[in-house]
Amino acid sequence: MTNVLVVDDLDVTFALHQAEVKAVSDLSFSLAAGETMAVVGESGSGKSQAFLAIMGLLARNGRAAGRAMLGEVDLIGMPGDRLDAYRGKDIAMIFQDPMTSLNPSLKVRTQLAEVLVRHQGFAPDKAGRAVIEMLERVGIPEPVKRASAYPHELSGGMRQRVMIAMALLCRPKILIADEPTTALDVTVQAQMLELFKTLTDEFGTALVLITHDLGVVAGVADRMMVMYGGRCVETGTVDELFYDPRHPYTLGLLHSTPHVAKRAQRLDPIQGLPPSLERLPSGCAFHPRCAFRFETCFAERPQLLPVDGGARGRACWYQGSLKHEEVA
Amino acid sequence: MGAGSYLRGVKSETYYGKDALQIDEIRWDNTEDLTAALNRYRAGELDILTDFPADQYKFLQDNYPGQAHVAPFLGVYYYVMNQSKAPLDNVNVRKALSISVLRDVIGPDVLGTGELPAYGWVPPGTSNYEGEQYMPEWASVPYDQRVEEAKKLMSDAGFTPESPLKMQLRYNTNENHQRIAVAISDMWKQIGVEVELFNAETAVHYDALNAGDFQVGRAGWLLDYSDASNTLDLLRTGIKQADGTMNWGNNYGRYSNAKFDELMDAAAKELDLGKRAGLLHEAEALAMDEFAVIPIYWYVSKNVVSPKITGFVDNAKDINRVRWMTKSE
Amino acid sequence: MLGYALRRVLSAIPIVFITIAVCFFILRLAPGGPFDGERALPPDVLRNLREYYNLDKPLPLQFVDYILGVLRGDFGPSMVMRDFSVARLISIGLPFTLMLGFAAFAIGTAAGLIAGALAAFYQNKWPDYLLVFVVLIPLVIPNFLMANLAQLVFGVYLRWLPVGGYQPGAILNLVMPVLILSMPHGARVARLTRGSMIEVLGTNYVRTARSKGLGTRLILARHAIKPALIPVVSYLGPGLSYLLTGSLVVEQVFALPGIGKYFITAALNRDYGLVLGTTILYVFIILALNLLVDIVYAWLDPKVRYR
Repeated sequence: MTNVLVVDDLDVTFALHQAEVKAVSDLSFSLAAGETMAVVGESGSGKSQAFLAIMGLLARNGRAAGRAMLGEVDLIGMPGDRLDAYRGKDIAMIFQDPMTSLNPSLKVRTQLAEVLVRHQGFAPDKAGRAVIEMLERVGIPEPVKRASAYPHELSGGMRQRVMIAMALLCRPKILIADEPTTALDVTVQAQMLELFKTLTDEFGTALVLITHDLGVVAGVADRMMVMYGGRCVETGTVDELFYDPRHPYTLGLLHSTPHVAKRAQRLDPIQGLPPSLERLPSGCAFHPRCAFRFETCFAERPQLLPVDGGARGRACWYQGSLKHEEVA
Repeated sequence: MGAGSYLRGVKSETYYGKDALQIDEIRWDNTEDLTAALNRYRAGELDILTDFPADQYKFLQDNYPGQAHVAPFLGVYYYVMNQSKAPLDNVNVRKALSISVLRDVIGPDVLGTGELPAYGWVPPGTSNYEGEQYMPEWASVPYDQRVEEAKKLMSDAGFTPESPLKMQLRYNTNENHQRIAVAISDMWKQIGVEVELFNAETAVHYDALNAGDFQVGRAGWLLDYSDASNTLDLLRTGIKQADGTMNWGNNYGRYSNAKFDELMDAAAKELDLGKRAGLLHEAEALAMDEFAVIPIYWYVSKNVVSPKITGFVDNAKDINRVRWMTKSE
Repeated sequence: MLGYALRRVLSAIPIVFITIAVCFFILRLAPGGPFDGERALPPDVLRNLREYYNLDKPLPLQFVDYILGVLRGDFGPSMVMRDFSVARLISIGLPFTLMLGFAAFAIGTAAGLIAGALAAFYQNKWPDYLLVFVVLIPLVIPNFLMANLAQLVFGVYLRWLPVGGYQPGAILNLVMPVLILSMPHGARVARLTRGSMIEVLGTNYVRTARSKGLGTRLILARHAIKPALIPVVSYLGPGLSYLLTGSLVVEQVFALPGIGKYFITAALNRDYGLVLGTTILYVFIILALNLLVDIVYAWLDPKVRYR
């Protein structure tokens, strides 16, 4: 399978008043056409910033370094006006909060049609018809009527469907969904994930699902990447990581997720808080919260290395089995 | 009419003096803001200003020598004292207040335009008023001696620094009135008078003066016509009305002296202008000796006249007819 | 829409009526009257004047008379400028004041919007710092001082522009007054625009627009301008009524024939008819502008509905 996105040594830094803060360090991964990759981590792990950097959407004080190859072009460091040829067409993004991510002063139709006008050169009436069609595809009842509505006239789930429709209008190679279901009711979440799955399969779109909720990952994603303190700490297929986690943080995440941890007797939240990016712990950033730590973990940072010689990777010094020593 | 309106006059072919008339056209501009008017003059948009800001007098003298005209004008700036109530019904208190006002500083220093000190009631230069200008003896007494005398008069009347006379001084809201009121209340402070300053807009101020609802108040009189009776009439006793009330007219202080009224009546009937002037002088001296009012300064006319204009002659009425002027380009 | 406007107009009637009533009675209760001045009038003359101007009747009756007159379009005579009716005085001064105010409004608003949008776009870069500083000047220096300074510099020293005065057609005479009047307004619009533009550019929906690859121009023109204008528009109504009713200083300093002066001098002179006339006019202007703002507002923010 061909890779649609290859990211190499991605660094994201933010200039604060006093110092520079590194939100993402040395991130490398590739995304195959049509696959679904989940990016998992707590807030502040750098999972969102990494993909905002790839989209060229960092805040004013943010800076990205490294490479993110979309086919033959490197998106990192590309000026905004050149990025606009790819954003919304080849690579699209959906944000966490559907309530504020749609423009309140523009009708739904306007906000969708402009994508087709911009990237496909559609005439407004043709774009309008395509918009209705797409709204229907994402399961919006009475799409003609909804197209003329303003965002505040729609429910949260409806708005997220509109966002999905907007992102998929040009059948992009890559869709980045940043916590797409977090703001929605639990009942709507499942439908929404189902919709993602069907549509990306149908359009052959690779999906990046950024989430802190492993429950969302199960059944949707092919592969997953676990991030902590701005770095990838473990990566592999969903099955591998779910049934045989090799990093204590992945294990902690599994134990703290209700319907994933059903085998365990009780829920075990990870002790302590995610680290502040301004003061990352020495050595392995996870060591203050880790039950398996030893001296090396305090002093040296583990590299992301292949596990069992396969496609899996993890960054951890601990060599023993995690299964036999359950977290206290 | 309001700011920005103007009158335009054009030489008339039917005017009897048209052959002598040098100016073909004239525009009278109504400008409210004096500083702005001066700016327009400096830019050459106006040839004559009929007023200018007092604080610009020095500037004009330095930078536009000879163009600022300040000349005596028929009018008196004065303080009225309400004589229908104690303690200003006491002539000695009135005297103390009047002689302790150092008039020489008001025009040159407080206002900055050099208005002349006033000690009498009829402005110098008034018509039909042959004879020597009224000048009280105390006017030539050194000021510190006058203050001493005023202190004595006040303490005789029962007012000492320990139990001062507390008094309200009213004036209509205006920067110059305020400066003068502050200066004079300071002068009165040294003779044991505590002054409370009270300012109100013009309509309210004169409403209070008319109603006799004041102690000391600021007033001014510009002569309607050049005749001594025009100011002296202000001090005549009021006229009893059909309903029994008194109409004091412009005699806000309610000064009343039967002899004064007699002299004014006699003057009104006198056909010989010389004798009439004598009677009016006698009346003026009588009222001033009784300190009927506190005259402060004689008004001046203030004009700025471009050097291009000839034929502008300062006069006490401040009437400057264009028919006598010429303008050179 | 039309019904909404009509309801708004109808609901304005009691506001106008209450304003007239409050103004009428407060004015009469204030000490001093239109015939108080340096020279006291003889009682007989005063009595005749009061009779002539209807001031001798009981106050409530005078009020009824006045209201009935207003309903017929008769605002009565000026009691101080005795050759003129109130309506005539207003009709002389109003067109000029409207022209001055609207010109200053148009220029100030346009300049303020452009300056504010530019400052927001270049936030924390030198164009922003420069604009933020320049915009402060007319806000801290009082209008009359600016006017006098401008007269000195451009009129007296440089001789580029006439210092003051006006006659129909003398466009050059309007340059300084209009600019001076427009400056504080423009400065406020610029500050508001900058602030709300910065806010809007940081919103999630602008980020969404960027993620769609729309390009800066389209994002500004379609996505950012309308929401950014909402706080600005809500200021424009009061701003315009301030320009129309606050032209006094500029009219005085530049010797212009507007209406601004009446509002102040009429109150000081107790020119009852003229005070009420100008008050009704100003209330009318303010209400009309508020209505206009609300309609524009509803267009900018679809969440607002005509109810």
